[in-house]
Amino acid sequence: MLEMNRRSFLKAAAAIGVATPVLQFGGLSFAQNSPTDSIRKVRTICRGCGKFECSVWVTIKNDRPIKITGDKLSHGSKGNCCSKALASIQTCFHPDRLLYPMKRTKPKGQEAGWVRISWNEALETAAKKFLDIKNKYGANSIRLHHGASRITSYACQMVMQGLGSANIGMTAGQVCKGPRAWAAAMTFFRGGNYVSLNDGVECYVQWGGNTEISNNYTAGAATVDGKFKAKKHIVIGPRQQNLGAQADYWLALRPGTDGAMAMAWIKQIIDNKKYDAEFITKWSNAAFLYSDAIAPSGFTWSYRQGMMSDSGIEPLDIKTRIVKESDMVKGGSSQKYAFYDTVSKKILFFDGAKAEWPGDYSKLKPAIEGVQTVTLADGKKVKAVTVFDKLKASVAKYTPEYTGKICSLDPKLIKEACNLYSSFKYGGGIFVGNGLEHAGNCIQSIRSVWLISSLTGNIDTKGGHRGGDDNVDDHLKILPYQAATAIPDPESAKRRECPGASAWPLMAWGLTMYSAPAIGDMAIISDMTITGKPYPIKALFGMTGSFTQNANASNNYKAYKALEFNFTAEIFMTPTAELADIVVPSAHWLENEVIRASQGAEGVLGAMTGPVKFQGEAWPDPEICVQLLKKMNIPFLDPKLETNPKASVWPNMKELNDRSVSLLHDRLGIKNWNDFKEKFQKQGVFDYKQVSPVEWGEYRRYEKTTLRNDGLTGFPTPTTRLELLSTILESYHPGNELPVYKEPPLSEFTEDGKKLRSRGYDITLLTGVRSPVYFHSETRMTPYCRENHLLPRVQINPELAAKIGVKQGDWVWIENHKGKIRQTVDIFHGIAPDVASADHAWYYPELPGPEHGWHYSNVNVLVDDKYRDPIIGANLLKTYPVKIYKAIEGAPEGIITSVSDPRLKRWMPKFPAK
Amino acid sequence: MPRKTMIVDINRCIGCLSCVVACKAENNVEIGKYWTWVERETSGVFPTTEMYFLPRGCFHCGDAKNPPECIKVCPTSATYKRGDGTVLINHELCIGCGQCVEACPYSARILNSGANPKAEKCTLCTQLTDNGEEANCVQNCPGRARMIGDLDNAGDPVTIAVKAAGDNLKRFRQIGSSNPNGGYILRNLTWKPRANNL
Repeated sequence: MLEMNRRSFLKAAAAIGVATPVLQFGGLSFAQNSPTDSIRKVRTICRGCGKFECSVWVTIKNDRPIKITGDKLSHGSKGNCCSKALASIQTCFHPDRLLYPMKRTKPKGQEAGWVRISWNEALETAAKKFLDIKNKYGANSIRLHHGASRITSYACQMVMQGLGSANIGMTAGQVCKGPRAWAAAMTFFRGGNYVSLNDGVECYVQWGGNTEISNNYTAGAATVDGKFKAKKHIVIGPRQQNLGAQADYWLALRPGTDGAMAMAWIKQIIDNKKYDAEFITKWSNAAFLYSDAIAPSGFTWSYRQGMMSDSGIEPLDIKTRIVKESDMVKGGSSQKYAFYDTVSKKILFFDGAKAEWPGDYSKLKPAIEGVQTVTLADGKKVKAVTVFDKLKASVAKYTPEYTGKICSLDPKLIKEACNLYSSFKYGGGIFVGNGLEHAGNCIQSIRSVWLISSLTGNIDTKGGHRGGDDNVDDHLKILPYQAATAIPDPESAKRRECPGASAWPLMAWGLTMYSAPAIGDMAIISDMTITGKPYPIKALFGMTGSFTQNANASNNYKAYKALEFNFTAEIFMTPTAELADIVVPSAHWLENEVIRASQGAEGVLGAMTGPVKFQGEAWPDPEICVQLLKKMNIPFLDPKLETNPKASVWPNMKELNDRSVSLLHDRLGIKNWNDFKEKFQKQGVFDYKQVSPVEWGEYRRYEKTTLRNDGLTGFPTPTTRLELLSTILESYHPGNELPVYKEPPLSEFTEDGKKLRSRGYDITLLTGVRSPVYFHSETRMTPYCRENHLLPRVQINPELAAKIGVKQGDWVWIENHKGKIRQTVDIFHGIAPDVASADHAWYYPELPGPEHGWHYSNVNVLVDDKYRDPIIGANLLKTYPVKIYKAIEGAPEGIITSVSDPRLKRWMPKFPAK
Repeated sequence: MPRKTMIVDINRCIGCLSCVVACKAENNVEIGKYWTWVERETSGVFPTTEMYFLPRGCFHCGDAKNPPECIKVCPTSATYKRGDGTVLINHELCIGCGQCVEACPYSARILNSGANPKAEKCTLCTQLTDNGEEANCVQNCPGRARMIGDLDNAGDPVTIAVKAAGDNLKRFRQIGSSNPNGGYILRNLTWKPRANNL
């Protein structure tokens, strides 16, 4: 955004007057084609961000890409082509792109003295080092760093699987999508965390996210389209968001109070009887009786997550105070749940092992309200209330007035917005973004929001919660991208060795969910690397991850420096790559060929078709993984072979691609990868819901057997019902089974919204708001991206700016108990005077290695890894109390501070000579 | 007289900057200089604040009879109004004197920093639109906020949209002989005059 006086900067730019002629690769040369030019347009899937799979057209002129535009035929992305996509040619052909394997010649912490080596040397060295370290310290001493790689890095998990390491899922999942996936899996179904905007949402509720910019599971174009098609639009979040400025309601709550807001909505929906009584009675555990007077008991839940046979099972010990047959009858089932039938006036049992109500459901009328007296097996009589009544009681305090105080909001707005949403019969699911995941008690706050959607019946309906992850068999098999199925997942015992598994008791279970929720604790593994306890971490296999982008970046830096061996695949020499022993070049999305299935609920299925030749010696990520595994003599255990042992020959890239579409042969009338690619090229993306009509196309799949993989109806939860009261949380985090509101860990407010005495940090800091031109730390060196967001920015209210005496563009220090960083001021009316919002992921590629200035402006320097969500362990990334004051020092020395800096022009693309 | 220009539906603009990069990529606009750019307008007292994004660029002012300042000040007639109303610069005639850059009240022009500098600005992507394609910023706008049309043609969908907008059509004010054709449609929010009273 250009906020400066344009005329003055034009003058400044003109004064410098760089006399280099501009490379003609854009539209002007396109307009001047000669008859001998060969021009073709290739359809492919963009990976400019790591989120939505936007179909794009790449125009190739004489083997050189000259233009990228959106593909309007894609039902998912609707022609979306964001600034990152449009600038991708510059990224792919960047003069500083990493194109060859390199090894360091100097100790870590100083300029590395990189020397080019062959792929063979890189892989042989790595294979030997990894095997030596495995022999010496055990397989667990080798870790993964699974970044947002350009194919998506799921293939890299198989390197850990092959080595037998427990550190298989080292992703950002603990702070991104993991909490949403866990909350969904605990409440209805994994995949239910997503809502399809293209399906048509009547009342579009954006809560703690702005997909119009982030493209998080819905493309920007689809977001705008969906917003204007929706009848009403409600935005909940502390900052005025881009599209939020057009909303019918903006609930500008105090950061981190989302949980309280959700509880107020739950209360109001229950009080006003706006819930879908028919749905929650039959399909949720609302009618189950619950008694505080009985001891928690239950059964071992050995349900396999998702549809995939080899994703492993992590049994959970379910212990609940929901009254079971076993509580009432000697020898009774611990999976039969008591409810009161108002027709027969008897207590009957719902059979959770069979997902069956007793007899003919149409003849029953389970009561979702009321107190019952239950006679236990020992003859004792106890009071029991329905789960629905328990839920009601848990939110009883949260009147609009009480909640208004917590959220610093006019109670009238809370009342009106909630009434508006619940005035629709099926208003739609509720979109939840990172805002909630990053603000402390995230499993609670997210689950509370989705209890709103659940009570109103917006589950697996048109516009309701209905993502495909884990529910469509082949979708899941494709997501690991070709090869993660090659080696079986670790045994349960192994999963429990994963960093964080002892701190967060459900983590091993989380590891059986595929994709991002397959997590490990990124902060704990750094501590382990430094202390060697409880077991040492000596080596790392990195696939485009960044230590700077995890909590407590300073500690991660120490840990990365301490590693005995680090083998990292990257596109650029990032501060993280600078700490590797060997760096190898990953391919860019324009070069890759791979199947793509969008995350989320839009169901885009397509392909990266590799319109551009691999530059230098860049390899696709799965190729790097396979070649490394081969060098380590780790056998390929082909899951498709019936024979035992299944050891086979490692497939090459073409064979991997062929395998990835094998489940689609009949449905798409194709025989191999080439057919798939050609079909995509001709007709555009496939709609997964049409490709898999039974598994995903149908609505209300809980009525059939398609949300579970064991032939039962209902939801893949321990009780088979949508769990308003989560039996998983009751078993592992008692007291959390129903909504509970807690202030974020470092909050300076009491739980009812009273300000405590300040500890000197008066501003509440939000971090991680998305910039449209960046995907996390990427493309800071791409000229078209960098010039449009030149410097790190912290948004503050004009009132705060006046108070601390700063103006637009001034450098300020942001300081908390962990440290301080510098960013520039962006004066913004749409943020409260005691709140600030700082950019994340900044480093300065223009500064020399090995540090590239990663600590100057990186907000993760301020992130304290002590503060976590108590359930999933998500780091506190937002709501830090900080102070902000003018940095008289100005900008960090040596960084680019002007769009006319010649270094930006030096970063223009270099095309290889013919 | 034809008046081809750009109209932006501000309510559909999300400030994503796709248009800015699309323009640069298509037209090879120098780093640090812009034919189109996006400003953010925020006002009010939190939380009763308003915000909108304002994509800027050449408004293709006036008509053949009433040419804008940029045409009037050009010593070599390099800047001209094409038959369809598009204001263009003939680079064979442009001597890079920069007078038009100074004369444009809306800062829509730049002087490139080549060995023989030339004035540049939004061309409405004639290289595409003359061949039946959409301008690159129009094609890649996720909000479908940008439209190019001839305001003199009553049947043009853009003219129809402009007519339908009524008072919601907002334009920068006329300065000298520069009378903007390009403008904005803004509903439900308060149009803020620019700092320099434009």
